Amino acid sequence: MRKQLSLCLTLAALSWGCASELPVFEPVPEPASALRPAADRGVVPEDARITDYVLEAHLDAEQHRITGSARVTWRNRTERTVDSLPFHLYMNGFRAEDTEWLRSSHGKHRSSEVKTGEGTWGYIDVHSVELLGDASDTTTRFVEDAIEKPTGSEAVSLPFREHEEPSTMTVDLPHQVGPGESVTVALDFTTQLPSVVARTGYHEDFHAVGQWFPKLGVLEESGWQAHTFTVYDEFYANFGNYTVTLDVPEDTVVGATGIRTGEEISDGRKHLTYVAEMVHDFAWMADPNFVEHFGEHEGIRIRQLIQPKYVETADDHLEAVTAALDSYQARYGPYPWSTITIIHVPEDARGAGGMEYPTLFTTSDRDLVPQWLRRSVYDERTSGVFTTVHEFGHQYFQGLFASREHLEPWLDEGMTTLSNHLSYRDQYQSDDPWLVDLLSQRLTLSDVTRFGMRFRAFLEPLARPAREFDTLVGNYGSTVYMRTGALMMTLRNLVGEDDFDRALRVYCDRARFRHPTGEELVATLVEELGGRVEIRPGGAAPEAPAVELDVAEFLDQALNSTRRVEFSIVDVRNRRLLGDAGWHRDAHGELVGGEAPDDLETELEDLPDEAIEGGVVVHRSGGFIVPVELLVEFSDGSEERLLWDAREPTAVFRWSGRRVKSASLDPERLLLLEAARLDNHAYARDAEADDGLSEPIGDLAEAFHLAVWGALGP
Amino acid sequence: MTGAIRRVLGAPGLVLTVVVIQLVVAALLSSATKTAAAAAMGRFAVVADGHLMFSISSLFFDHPGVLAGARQLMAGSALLALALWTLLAAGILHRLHAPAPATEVAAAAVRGLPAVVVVTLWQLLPRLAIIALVTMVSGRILGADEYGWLGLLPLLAALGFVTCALDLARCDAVLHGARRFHVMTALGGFAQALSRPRVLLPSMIFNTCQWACVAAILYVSISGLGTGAPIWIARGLAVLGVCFGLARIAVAVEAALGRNQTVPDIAGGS
Repeated sequence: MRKQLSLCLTLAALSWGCASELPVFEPVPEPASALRPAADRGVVPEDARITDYVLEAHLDAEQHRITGSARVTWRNRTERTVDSLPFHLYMNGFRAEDTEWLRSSHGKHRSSEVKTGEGTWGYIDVHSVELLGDASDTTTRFVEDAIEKPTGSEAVSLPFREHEEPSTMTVDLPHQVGPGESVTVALDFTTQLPSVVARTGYHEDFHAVGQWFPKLGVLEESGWQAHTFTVYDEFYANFGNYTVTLDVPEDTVVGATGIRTGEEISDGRKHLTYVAEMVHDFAWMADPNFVEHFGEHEGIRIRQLIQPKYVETADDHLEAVTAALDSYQARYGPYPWSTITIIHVPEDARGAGGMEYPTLFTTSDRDLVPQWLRRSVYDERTSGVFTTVHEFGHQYFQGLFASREHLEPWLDEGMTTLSNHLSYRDQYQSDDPWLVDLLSQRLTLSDVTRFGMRFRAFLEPLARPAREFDTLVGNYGSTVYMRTGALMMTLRNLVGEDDFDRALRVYCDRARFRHPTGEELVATLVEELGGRVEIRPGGAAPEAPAVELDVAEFLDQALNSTRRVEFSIVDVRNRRLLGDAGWHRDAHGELVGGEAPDDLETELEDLPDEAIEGGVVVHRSGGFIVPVELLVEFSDGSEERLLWDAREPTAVFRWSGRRVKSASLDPERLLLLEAARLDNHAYARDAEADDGLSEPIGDLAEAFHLAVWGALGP
Repeated sequence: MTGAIRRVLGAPGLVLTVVVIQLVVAALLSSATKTAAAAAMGRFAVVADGHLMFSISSLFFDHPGVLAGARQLMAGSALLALALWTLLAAGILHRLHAPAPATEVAAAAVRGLPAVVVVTLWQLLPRLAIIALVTMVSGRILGADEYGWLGLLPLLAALGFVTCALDLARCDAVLHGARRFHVMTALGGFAQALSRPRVLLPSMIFNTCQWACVAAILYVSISGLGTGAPIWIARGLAVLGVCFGLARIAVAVEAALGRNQTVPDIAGGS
């Protein structure tokens, strides 16, 4: 009997340890078109289509190497004439220790160490460049035309040279390409993927294939934009259509930009064809371990490729991205593409997580806190789903409003952070949704934002190129993400939600499928908000005196200076109100009186309120000039709200015949840019009140001591 | 169980002493943290607007000394608790076994200390190994939603088992005349706990109640933070926890009596 029991237990333990059957989810069919139907997708301007690619890639999964070819058709839509084409070779950033990327990263990206051992470097090697279409040919050769080599033209081999810093190269053209003309070139290349680093690379069977092909720069009226790849740089390219053929091992599950239009299996290989329209990049991820999870919202196919361990969290991500989609479409306009692909990278490949590509992004996974614990003890909205909402936000801020990420990262990461704020508010129907909940004690979105800015967010101006941020200073995240989100939310709180949202929508409509600049965003906000906005104290009567906010000045300080928003209460004090006791001259010029004040000997607390002059001294300790509300509470229970324009660093407010009990600066917490708030509220010297913090901290400490003693004995 | 409870109720002086020690130490140590926080706040204050966690975090960020001091006090508190509970162990066993004047209890505590320390150290590794093993195995249960709070049961059972084994071994060493410094006396505690379910079960129940009090202290004080009253509930729970702890020890004392009615001269060695 005992033996049988032990056998049963062993079998139970073994079955417990065995991997359970992976779930199979009902697939949602691939959409017929990469763009949504015309009625749903919003404006897609034809003139925004500039660079088309036909790409072919063969993945050697053992060597983590891609043998590829690209046919690039570019149309010159500027007034400039060019005689060369610059290409980004981003993958070369991971080629050697002396590349700008590795120098600037100092071997670390986010929290991941960059592996620089044998077999871990990444590079792209261009073997040949040929001219397929004559530059003088004014016919626009777009993808459909360029799949086959154009008839009647001989392919001409073109000279090309990798630059000293190998993340860019130049191809010389035999003819100039003038305004309205086009050119088609073909490139053969080999891309060696690095061990996962900075959004790309391989880890075991997983392959994150981003920035893997030679990518043409962007011609602006000022000249070509093709930047050296450094640690905080992201990517910049023109919109266009992509037709991509992938040749991968048969067992590989692939997620890619756009829609899949073909799949053939032969000789143990899978040949997949993808089409993407009006995008500025194409990325794909492959892993035999992916579990496919499907969803659909407003005709948009949402496909997740998720690691088996995290399958049960797929619905959380679907819910998050659906809510974000609703919020973003309402605020920034229709989502134009027909697919969203969410990639969950393996645990040991987190360097590839949290990255956006058109219609595809990588996310992070939820902390596997069991639901019963989430319900009763600890819950959070920071892991996994927050990344999903953020990366989806990039489908708008950069994917659709394709700003120059490398030059103005705030316009991309920062505005996406703002969109996260708004999306979370929409989703959770709260002005300040919580992110962490420990036994009902919560940290909200605004708390986390303020706290994030405590980490070096004001050391340098915000509006600066990514390459100027130094990893040693370590302020990129707190400055670009947190500070931008906070400044925009502060502006929104001050000028009013409706006006701000309307102004931002105007910008979004203008920026759609364009390359907007920070200057354009600022100009739109100033123009739409009216330059000078009258601000009134919250909750005060409409006739309460207003203060003007200069929107341009606000944005200039926020973007181009290191000024902090920081206010403090210097003093809250009640004093005896001075009367008219003493000597005065009468009508005859004689000095009369001389009596002492009646209440001179009376203690301050015994004086009636009428005999009191209450005073509050406030100070703008930060350099940032912005109106701030002051809430004053009097001893009779009444309150007064007023606005201080904060033009001078210090202001004194007095009330005759009123005893002040306390004063609060920014009581409605509108100034999200103000990171430190502990000095925003103070009681009068003669008011009895506790600080509101030492008592709970003391109680908490005592409870912990009691718990420790209880746990260790008797 | 009733016998154990009767023994605890019959020793009000002991209960009071242990409770007072615990409450006073906690109050004294936490007052230092509170004073430091008050000094850091100066004349500023925060309003109760639902951002207490942020305010506390801000205070710790602005004045890291407050948090460092609190952490240091907490570590000191834990060491003090370990030392004091070990020092008092033999005295508690003595008093729960039979009424005795305070001086005699104190003397018994001192005399029995070496045996208590040695037994505790001998048991340390097996205790840690058992708890680690059960934690590892029950981790999967804890992570599974279908069991909910019940997933904690294996861990509580393991804690109850090793605690019972320690109580029994200490009783053997201090009250039962066993070889006080021998490893088998310590390991015998595990064997006894396994072979005597009528001792193990009530001991585990009391131990679980003790842990429930600890969890409740944390729950009440965190969830009600800033509202004042919870600290009094936490103090009440701490008193209750002490009573459960003493009752658990009394179970072992009763068990020792069951094996040998005579109490050896605890001053003598074996």
